[in-house]
Amino acid sequence: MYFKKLFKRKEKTKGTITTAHIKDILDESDDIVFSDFHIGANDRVQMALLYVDGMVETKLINDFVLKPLLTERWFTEAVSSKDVVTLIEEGKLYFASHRLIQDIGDCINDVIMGNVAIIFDDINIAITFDVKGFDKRSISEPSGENVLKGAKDTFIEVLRTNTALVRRKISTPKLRIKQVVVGRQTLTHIAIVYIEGLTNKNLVDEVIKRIEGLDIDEVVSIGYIEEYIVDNKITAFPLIASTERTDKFCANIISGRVGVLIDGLPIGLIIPGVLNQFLQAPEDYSQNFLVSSLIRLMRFLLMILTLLLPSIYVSIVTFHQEMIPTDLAIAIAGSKEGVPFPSFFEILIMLIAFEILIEAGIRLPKTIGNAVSILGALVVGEAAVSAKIVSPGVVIVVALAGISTFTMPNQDFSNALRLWRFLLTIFSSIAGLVGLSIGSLLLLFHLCTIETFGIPYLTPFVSHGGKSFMDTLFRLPLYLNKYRPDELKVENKRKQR
Amino acid sequence: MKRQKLFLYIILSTILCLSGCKVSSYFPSKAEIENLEFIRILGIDKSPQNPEEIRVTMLYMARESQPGGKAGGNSDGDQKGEASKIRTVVWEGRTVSEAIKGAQMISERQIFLGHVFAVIIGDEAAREGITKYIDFISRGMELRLNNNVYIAKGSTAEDLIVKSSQSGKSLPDTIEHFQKNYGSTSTSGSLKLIELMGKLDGENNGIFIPALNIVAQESDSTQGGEKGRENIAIELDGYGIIKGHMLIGYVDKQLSSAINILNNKYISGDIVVSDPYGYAVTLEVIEMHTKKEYKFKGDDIESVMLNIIVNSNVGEQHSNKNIYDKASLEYLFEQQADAVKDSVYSIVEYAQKHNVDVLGFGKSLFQKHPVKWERIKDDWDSIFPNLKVDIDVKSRILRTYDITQPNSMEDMK
Amino acid sequence: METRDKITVGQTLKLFLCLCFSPAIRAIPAFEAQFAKQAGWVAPMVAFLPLFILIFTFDKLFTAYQNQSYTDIIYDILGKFFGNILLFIYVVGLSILLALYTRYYTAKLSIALTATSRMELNIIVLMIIVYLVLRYGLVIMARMSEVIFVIINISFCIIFILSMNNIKIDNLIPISYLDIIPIMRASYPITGLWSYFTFLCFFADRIEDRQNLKKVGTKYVTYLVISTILLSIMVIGSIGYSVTSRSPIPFFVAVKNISLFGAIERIEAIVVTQWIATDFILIAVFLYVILDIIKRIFCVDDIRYLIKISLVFFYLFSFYIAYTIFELRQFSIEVATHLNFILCFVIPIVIYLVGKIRKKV
Repeated sequence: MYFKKLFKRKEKTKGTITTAHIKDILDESDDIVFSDFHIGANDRVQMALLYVDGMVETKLINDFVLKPLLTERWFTEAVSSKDVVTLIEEGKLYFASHRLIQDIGDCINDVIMGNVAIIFDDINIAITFDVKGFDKRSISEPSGENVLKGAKDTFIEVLRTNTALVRRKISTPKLRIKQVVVGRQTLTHIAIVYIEGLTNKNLVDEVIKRIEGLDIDEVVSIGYIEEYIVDNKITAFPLIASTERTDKFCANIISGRVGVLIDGLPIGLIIPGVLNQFLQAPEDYSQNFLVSSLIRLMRFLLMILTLLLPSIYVSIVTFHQEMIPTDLAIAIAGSKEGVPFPSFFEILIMLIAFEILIEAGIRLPKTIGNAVSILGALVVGEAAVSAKIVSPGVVIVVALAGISTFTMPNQDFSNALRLWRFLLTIFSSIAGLVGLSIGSLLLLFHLCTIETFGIPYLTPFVSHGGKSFMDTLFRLPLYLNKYRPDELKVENKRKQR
Repeated sequence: MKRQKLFLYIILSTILCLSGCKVSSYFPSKAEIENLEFIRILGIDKSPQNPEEIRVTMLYMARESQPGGKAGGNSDGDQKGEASKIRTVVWEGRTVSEAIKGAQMISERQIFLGHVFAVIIGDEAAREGITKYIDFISRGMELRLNNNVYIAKGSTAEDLIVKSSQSGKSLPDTIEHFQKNYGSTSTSGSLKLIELMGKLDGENNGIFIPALNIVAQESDSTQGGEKGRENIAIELDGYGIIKGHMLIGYVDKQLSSAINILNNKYISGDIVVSDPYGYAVTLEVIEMHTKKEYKFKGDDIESVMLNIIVNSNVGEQHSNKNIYDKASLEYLFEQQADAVKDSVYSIVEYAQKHNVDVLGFGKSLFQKHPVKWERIKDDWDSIFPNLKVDIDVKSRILRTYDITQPNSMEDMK
Repeated sequence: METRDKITVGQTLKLFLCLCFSPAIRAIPAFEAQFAKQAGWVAPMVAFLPLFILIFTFDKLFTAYQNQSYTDIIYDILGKFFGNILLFIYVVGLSILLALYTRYYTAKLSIALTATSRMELNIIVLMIIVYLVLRYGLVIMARMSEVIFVIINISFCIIFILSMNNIKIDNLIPISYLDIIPIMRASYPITGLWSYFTFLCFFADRIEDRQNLKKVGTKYVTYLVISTILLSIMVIGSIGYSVTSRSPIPFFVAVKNISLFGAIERIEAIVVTQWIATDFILIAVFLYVILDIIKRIFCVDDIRYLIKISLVFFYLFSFYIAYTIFELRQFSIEVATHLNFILCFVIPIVIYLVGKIRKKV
């Protein structure tokens, strides 16, 4: 594995904790609130309250921080800041947890994360309380992944809620959630989730090392993590699986993979991601194993269909016309009369039109989304054929290939297939099935060279012919699937008796 | 270093492209499907004008430009519609290949032989020797070895192809029908090119190729033409017999079915016999199997016994008598056996007279007694004509169909 | 040359089977039909025995020489001087075979599909892919062979099932005592081809679980024999021995003959795509072995710079070894067949016997 050089961490803010210093660092942001308070006997104890408006729940501050400080006897009789700090440390404030900070950087980070800080200038101490009260989305059904027969809860943008969802599903005390902060500007919290005594320690260490080693400005989308930590960067194929679904995330953790949750993103990353994973859906384990096996096999065949169908059509129609049954060949030839473009060009036009439709469908508002599908059907289907821009056979081929793409459970994987589909079509337009074969060989070579965290991408089809092959094209009954995947080299291989 | 490498690659590719070598010659040749003419049937004849040349007739289906368009102006149903799309191209050359390539120059599209499924050899060409006429189709890259081979009985392949298309019949459909249904009468058969090649290479000298015959029928229909106009049909009519590699003659349907019997290619068919009352009875053969047993004296073959088993069902009877009693049935068994014997004796006589082993004797001898065959194969030409052939037919009638006794049977009244 | 390390016995044997596929579909049915006629399909059963002997020989050698390759064994048994001579002979022999197969690759494509196009580009494209793969090393090649192995076997099974309709028992019988000698003659070239296993033993030090060689090897070899027999039955059974012996690629002709329900026919172009993959494996493995041996003879550490040069050399050499299909065929019958047998079957047995005599094994 290629190890990234550890870069210097972002420069920490330095200095003692004083309100003046903090004001200086934060400058004059209108959402940063400073309030001065005097408490204690004869109002001797001066303190400042610092929080970010909109990030906190002010009722919590009022009722559980300020009120006890201003009304409780032990606080009103305090004579110094030290006394107050001691009392708070002893738990005299109505708050479950607090954090005593002496570093100005930590203080500012806590405040920005949604905590409230009480700053004692005279003793350069700040105490922060977790009063996060920003608006967050409720847990809803997944929008990008359909659930037929399983849990419908998904991750949301708040890290702590996501970790709580994982804890609810994996209740073992051995579940570990390690947090790191990445991003100079965004200071995003990233949680690395694994099971102690199960997940391969080397894998966990490697993931943590790579994430900690990131020296970037921001983490506002998955790509900022994904693209930086993978081994092979020049590939269209996803090397890390991502999911909105908590059940899928947890199932993979239990299999021995490492999960990554990012604050601010409703997605869980699953490391490592091999090709076999992208062809599996959690529903496979909810349905009867025979049905699931057939569906998986069909999915596999559809993967090949979506990749190869347009190129096979171009090869056969342009180079190997003898392969088409005679009546069909005559029909295709007849329907192509008057079309000015060669077959390859027709396929290319249709594939591009299909991509335009997909892209438009994603971007358009829902209210006029339906119009796109009607427009697509009319324009691409009827009008293009009637206008002799393309022949009917091409429309069918591209439609079939396109629909097959959407049977892939993972969107990133199907995007990679779409890209390679273009390339293979170009190869086949040059040299027919020979060209297609060369292109397929190059694709196979590319897939064989990819490794993700030390595991070959085509596992278990290559390198490991062992037990993990039982859960690939077919799903054997769960009572036979006793071992975790070989390639993960987990510490505890057996799943069940 | 990387920039220098890239520069080097660009220079090399430019040199390659501009070197005067036609770049397209490095790639497989391509042709858009609409620019191809799909030839379905090839007819090969000796040129009537120039005996040194070969005349090739190619049959293809014309296409309508409209997507899914029908044949123009014809509402008589698919058969007529298909038939009106038939076109032919005829050309000559010193070889079959030259003739086909010459035809490219008058065709409006590129001639494509990948969909040829039948080859018809003219009578005269076959009499001269078929090997030179089939070499191109055996060897050609586009053509395949499972094409069906026919001989045009008493005519040229061109005549057969052109006349059939002029009469409004679709010859490709007709031949496909023959392929699927020749077994219903077993009066002819099917021969693939690969089988023909194997037989030509083999040590037996007798080959039988299905023959196609032009049959003129007087039309009494007013549909599509004048009453009494000649209507041409193509008939699958027996076999042409090839000795060595030359056509020596034809056998009629009866002898052809006997050939099928002896070569275990008889699928089904009708044997018409007389019942004890002199009326016709049709026996539909459901099983016909021949076993050849050879008797040797030392290394010399003495005789061959043909044990033929024939099982049939009563398909039709013309009398209104009960012919299902023991005596009548035995009579019918005998009649059936005699009918089979007669036809088999006839073909044996024909084959021995012409010294052409179309009976499969040599082949079965080789398979059953390979060691003995090895010793006598060189003398087979002298052994075969004089070989004593005995025939034993075990004939049975198994059942009939929906009714047993006929309508208006005398006994029932 | 490697950035990766070891492969398993299973991967090695899959590489071996992929190696055998390309010459098998071209040469085996033709030799069988030529020598043994209709009884040719029995020849693989006879060739099974020498292959078994070869695998057992190597098993014994690897047991005696743990974690060492065939090159190390040669050096130890014959000494440095004679070892180098023998290895040099192997390099020359392999080079001839490599050039021959490179030429055969493009000849097959010409016969099957691209008769009118020139062959240079086919070879260049294949060489580029070989170059890309060899840069990454043995492990990538082994992974590719695993996938290619599955694909070619599935497609072969499908093709066999489709062609069952065409197989005639009459083309496969009779078999009598008169066929014994012809069958043994027909098994000679098959033995030579199957002995390509020897070439894989040159990188035996990179095989992880060599102790399983006998067990796993028996399974794969049995599969090889059965599939070769089925191949022979399919080809000779459907097109007859006379056409098989006359055809440059009889398997291709047999596939051309397939016709099912009038819809599944003329599928021969699909088998051509398999050839490209298997010929690529064949050429890549041979070149890898050649470079590996050169590395050992000249005691160099890194041989990556030789990949490009050697590819250019073999590209040119392939034109000189034989240009027309007739020369190719003649060269194959008169030279390559014997070269295979001697280099790949006889010499390892001799090495083993010498090792036994010198009490090193």
